[in-house]
Amino acid sequence: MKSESRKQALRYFFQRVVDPLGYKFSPDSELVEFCLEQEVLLERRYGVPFCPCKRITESRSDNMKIVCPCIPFNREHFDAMKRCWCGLFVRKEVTDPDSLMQVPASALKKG
Amino acid sequence: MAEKRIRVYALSTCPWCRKAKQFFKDHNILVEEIDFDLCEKKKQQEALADMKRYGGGDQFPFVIIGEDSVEGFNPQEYCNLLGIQK
Repeated sequence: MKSESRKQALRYFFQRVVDPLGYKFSPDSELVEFCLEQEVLLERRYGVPFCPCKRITESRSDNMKIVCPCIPFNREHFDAMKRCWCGLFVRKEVTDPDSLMQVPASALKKG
Repeated sequence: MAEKRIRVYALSTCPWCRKAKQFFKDHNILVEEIDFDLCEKKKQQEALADMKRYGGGDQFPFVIIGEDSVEGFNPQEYCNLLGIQK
């Protein structure tokens, strides 16, 4: 399958998964295009569209937690940031994704 | 200004890692860029050990500035640690 059509397929599938979780694609279309392109590459390499910003390990169970969309495995962390780690998805109420920072979960716990 | 040793651990697939690298280029600061996913296994093990020593290793970008580390793209924190006025 060509890259563009696979990207569209992932976009369609992801939309249906993240919508009930209260998330949507980022309004930053350039970022969305880039992330989806990388996920198509990762899917070709590993057979799975992993998060492009997380380390793939040798542990299958750990890796399953970074399959995009990885929101269910990071709910508290992502809800606090109002975005996922790579920024592909943001909370539905977000209109200005540039205002949202990557904050490690450890920093959020410290308050 | 930037006399501290700086390592930028990145993934070639990560858009925020590209922004982090660009930040240091824009400020003419010499850094060691390590694309973790493009490294050979031995180099990955060394990189992972280095990141873990500073509390990271799972999420990118991960930047080590001197004895401090920053997980995620955070230009304000880079400036703070390097004494750069924004």
